[in-house]
Amino acid sequence: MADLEQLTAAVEAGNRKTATSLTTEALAEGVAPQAILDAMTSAMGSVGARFSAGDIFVPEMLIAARAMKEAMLVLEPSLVGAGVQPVATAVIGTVEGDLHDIGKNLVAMMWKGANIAVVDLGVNVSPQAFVDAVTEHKPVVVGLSALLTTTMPMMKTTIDALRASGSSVKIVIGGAPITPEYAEQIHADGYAPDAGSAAALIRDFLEVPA
Amino acid sequence: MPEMTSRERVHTALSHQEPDRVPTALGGGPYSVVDDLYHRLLPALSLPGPVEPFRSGHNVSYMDDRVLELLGTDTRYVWPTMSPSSPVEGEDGGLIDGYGQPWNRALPYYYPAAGILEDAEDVDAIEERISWPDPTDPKWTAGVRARAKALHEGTDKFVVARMVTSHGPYQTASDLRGAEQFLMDMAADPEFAQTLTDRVTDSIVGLIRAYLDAGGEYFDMIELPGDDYATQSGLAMSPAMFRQYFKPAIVRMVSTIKTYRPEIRVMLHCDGAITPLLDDLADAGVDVVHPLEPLPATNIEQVKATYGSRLSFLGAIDIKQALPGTVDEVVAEARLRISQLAPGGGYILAPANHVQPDVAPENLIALFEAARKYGQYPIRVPVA
Ligand code: B12
Repeated sequence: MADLEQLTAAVEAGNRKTATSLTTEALAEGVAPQAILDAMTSAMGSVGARFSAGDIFVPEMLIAARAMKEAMLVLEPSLVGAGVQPVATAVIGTVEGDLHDIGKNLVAMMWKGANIAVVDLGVNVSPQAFVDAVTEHKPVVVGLSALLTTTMPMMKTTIDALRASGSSVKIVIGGAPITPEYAEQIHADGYAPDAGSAAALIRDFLEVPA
Repeated sequence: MPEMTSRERVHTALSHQEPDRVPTALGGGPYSVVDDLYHRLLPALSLPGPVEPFRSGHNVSYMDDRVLELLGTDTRYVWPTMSPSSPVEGEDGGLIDGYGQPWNRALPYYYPAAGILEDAEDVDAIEERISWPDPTDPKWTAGVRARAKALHEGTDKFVVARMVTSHGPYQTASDLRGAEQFLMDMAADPEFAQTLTDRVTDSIVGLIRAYLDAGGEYFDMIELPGDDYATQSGLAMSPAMFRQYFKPAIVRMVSTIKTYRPEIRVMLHCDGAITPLLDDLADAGVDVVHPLEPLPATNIEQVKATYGSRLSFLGAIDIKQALPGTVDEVVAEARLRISQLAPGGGYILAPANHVQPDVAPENLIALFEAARKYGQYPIRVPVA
């Protein structure tokens, strides 16, 4: 009997071979795809919490996300077969003028780890490109990242452009210089200080239990 | 105390003694002014026009001694003519760096395109795919000797050799392998991570040697290539991983310099909240740490109390809130950092990073005026 606790542990440890083979085994034994997915999202939830707490660092978090990503390749066809969909779509990008992306990528991974489909627009993303992506992908959440005091105002420009386009999508922001006060000031809907909290934040929006 | 020369002032401070006043610096590898601010500083300092840019494609392109003279800073710089981690325009108009890594332009800056090693399956690719720079090629150090000699003999300034290449072992490996892939290698493929780190370090050590051969007899300090092991709230990697991969690389770079001439001071730039690594940096032989980024996660007083006898600090002036703020805020920042870091020497006042376009020229001028005014030893701690 494939052990889902072991799968959770393998994802947490970033052990992609074990995670993939346990997923294959579980499927072969007829375990419900949703239960397998839950074992992995739960792993990413605790990875995020340990990262927020400073117990693990960027490399450990990245290999956990990779282990889940590879196991998901095995699981995805069965999820589709069972009618399990990503719970929502999110769009994320680093705002125009800013090229920092390590933090943004971690947030994107944690969102994927929470079974959210993520459209990553990359770095140096213009307000118009965010507007276009929202029109195209109809996400529930847009994430804006900025690491520079000089590009923080571009977050406001981007939010204004999204609102001017008539979109009421939830907009969350983050990045080293961002504070909750700033998020409030520019009328963002949410802020998170790190990738673990960013996953919790989006779960709150979606009212998905952790 | 009689007024010291700039060179004496900095040497005294870096020997952990109190000079006449706190030395100041601007213009190093990670603490210059961006071009936009440079062009606004010129009229503010009544200077006629810009000097020739010392490189192209970057957002920091000017080394202007007239500006440093008017701001009254104590350091002057020597720089490599070319640097492998700074991309230049290739034949097809695209950007390519000295390792053969393509970069994307995002004016006024650039960032690495997909790493040439991103999909490499084994360590052989490290030799096969990368055109490792030949450190004996004179193009890296052309002009270094003449400028270093002129500064050493013709001025009494403290001569700093700017980074021989902008990115150190960690960041170069990240450029070539892709940042995320390299971080994952560090955790899951130690052989690849170690081999790549060692190979990049070989290359940098070779360049440092060539730099020393060119002008080392005149250098007072060398900046090691920059490597950001930390983030806003803590380390990017565990201290154990830092010790496994990068501390040995730092030891090699430092010992190359100290073997050449032990009196040359060695500076390392590492942004972010790096307190947990300071012991290792001191242990590796680093003399000066830039910038000690002012962050809630860094207790500067405690850092000074714990490491102040083994390490000197360069920087610490906040470029995020204080410098873009009012002149009063700038002066308060200078006084605060002087009170925290200058007692007993061991502090050179400088910005925490390249000063960005959101800073007024008047603020930068005010910073160095405040440093001169409030940096007289003995330091009087400001009453809040
Ligand atoms: C690594 C780094 C770089 C690398 C970037 C590599 C890359 N691919 O991203 C390089 C060397 C290229 C770089 C370049 C520059 N940098 Co830089 N960089 C850093 C550094 C050291 C760490 C950033 C990082 O990667 N952290 C790791 C990640 C995991 O953390 P994070 O980004 O904070 O993200 C977390 C949270 O913030 C949050 N989060 C992030 N985004 C989002 C989004 C959402 C929606 C949510 C909810 C949460 C969230 O979750 C993340 C994960 O936990 C910081 C120092 C610092 N204090 O942060 C300086 C720093 C940001 N850089 C700085 C500067 C000045 C620059 C340059 C402008 C320098 C120059 N040449 O002039 C250039 C920028 C060019 C440009 N236009 O962008 C300054 C900014 C100062 C200012 N005025 O704002 C800093 C603060 C350094 C300093 N000493 O002052 N940099």
